[in-house]
Amino acid sequence: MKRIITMGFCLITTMGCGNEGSDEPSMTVSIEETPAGSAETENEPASPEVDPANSTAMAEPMETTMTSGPSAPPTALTEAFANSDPGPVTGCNGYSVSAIRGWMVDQDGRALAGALAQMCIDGAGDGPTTCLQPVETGPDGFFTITVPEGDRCAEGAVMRAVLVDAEKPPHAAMYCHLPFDELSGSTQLTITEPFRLYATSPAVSKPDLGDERASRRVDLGDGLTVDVVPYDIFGSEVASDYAALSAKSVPSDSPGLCFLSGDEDLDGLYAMSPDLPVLGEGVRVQIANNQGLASGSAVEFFILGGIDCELADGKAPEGDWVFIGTGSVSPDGSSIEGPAPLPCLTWLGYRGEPGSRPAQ
Amino acid sequence: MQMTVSSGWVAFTAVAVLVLGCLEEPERRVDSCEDEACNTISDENSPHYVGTFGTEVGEVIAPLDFGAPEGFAFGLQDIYQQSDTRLLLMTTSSGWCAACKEEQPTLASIHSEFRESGLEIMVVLFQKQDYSAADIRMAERWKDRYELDFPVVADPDFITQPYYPGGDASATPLVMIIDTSTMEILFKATGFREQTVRALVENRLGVP
Repeated sequence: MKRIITMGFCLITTMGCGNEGSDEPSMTVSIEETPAGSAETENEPASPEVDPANSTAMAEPMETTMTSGPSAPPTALTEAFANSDPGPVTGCNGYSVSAIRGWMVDQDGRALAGALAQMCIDGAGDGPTTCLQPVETGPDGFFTITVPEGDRCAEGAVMRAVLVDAEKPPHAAMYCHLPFDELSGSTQLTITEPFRLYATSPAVSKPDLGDERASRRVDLGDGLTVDVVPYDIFGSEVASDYAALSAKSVPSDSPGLCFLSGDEDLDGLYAMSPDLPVLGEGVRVQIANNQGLASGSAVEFFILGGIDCELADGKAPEGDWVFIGTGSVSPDGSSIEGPAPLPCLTWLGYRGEPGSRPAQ
Repeated sequence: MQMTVSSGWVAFTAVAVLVLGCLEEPERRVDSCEDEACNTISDENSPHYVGTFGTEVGEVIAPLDFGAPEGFAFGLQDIYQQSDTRLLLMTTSSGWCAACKEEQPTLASIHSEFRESGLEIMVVLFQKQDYSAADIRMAERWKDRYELDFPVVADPDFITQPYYPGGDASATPLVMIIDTSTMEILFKATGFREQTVRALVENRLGVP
């Protein structure tokens, strides 16, 4: 009786008194027990018919999100893989990889449930490139991808981390080359550094859709404005893709920016959403010159390659940080005009030419 | 696996739909059939192809039906009925499959090269980039985007899934080559190997 009363009290106060299964100071306080460790989802198609029963996550807990800091890594990252290591592929002249596991967090390091991990593998030698069905992260952000037998001899691979849940704020996709050089004799790769997804903010001002083939200026906030033709956003539905336009300025020394080596010396970096290619005239960019770069000076622009991100002279490969052209600071010094149009809405970075920055 | 059967009236409906400029997704005929005998169509006067349908190499592919631009259903019976087609290269794609998108120009090139010899190509889309089900609008834009001269169709129910090797649709694209005189599956694999595909096509079409 006393226990029932205690549990009832816990349910009312949502203080997580019944959270016996969790051994970490989780950001999500669950009343119902969760299994020790993590929710490991196997390589099953994740969307739109993800069956929660196929993951080890329990039935939906009553939860309260508390913003008390970054999540600890899931314990599953250090446990044995569900399947034993099958060993290297006979005759493989690349990396033999049978499974990859990792976890995802948001910009503040909190575990991100319901995100999707999806990778494309470049076959070694004359092997083809194949793309694997996405896998959904569990409550602690953990995921495992099992590589099909025929695709286990790889030259490399890129992971696309994305959140497509309409119930959650938009986030920019992240594309990261996978560190197969860390396999070290195993075919099962554990990536301990989390994939980090940064939230973006909806446009500050945006004209109504109207004629979807007409160009219009959209203020994405944080000093970024774009000229865009909604029809050219090559996504699911013109209206919804246009409505979803969002961006966020992110410090270039922020954690989890796997596509940067750290020595890019950027003056600005934007995360953008939705992660889609833009055809036709692309997206023209104008950025407020808050850095005080010298009037008329040149500004280099870069983009993170995503799916079908096509430049005038080729593609911006997934996961690559690619130079797309040189813009300039306006004569009055108030803004920076972008160069060639943006071919996709992933991450955009820029830096002024040497000597254009104001003296410190 | 869901089986669909198209009939000759679809072509007439297609013309009507084109005239009306209607781009709504058509009602697809679905004949669910549990009996093994239902898989076999044996009317010799029918334009339909016959066989006991299967999913493996050496077996006859079921007359799958898809959603297509211009607002009518399009499927394998339509391919079978193309008198100038001897071989079908069928490949699945999705909006999130970078590899699939990269192969489109190569498909266009191969189609251009071998169409007169009897090759037809069909791209079957099953999901959009946001992982939602593909639709006819996506097929239209895809065909436009890659400037393709062959059918691009939508497979929102992913009826092509059983055709993946071992039924495992983990890896995309699926590439199949089908003899359109018998609708027999000659080849299937995941991943597009251009050299392999070209060699098979050249060999089957007798092109040097």
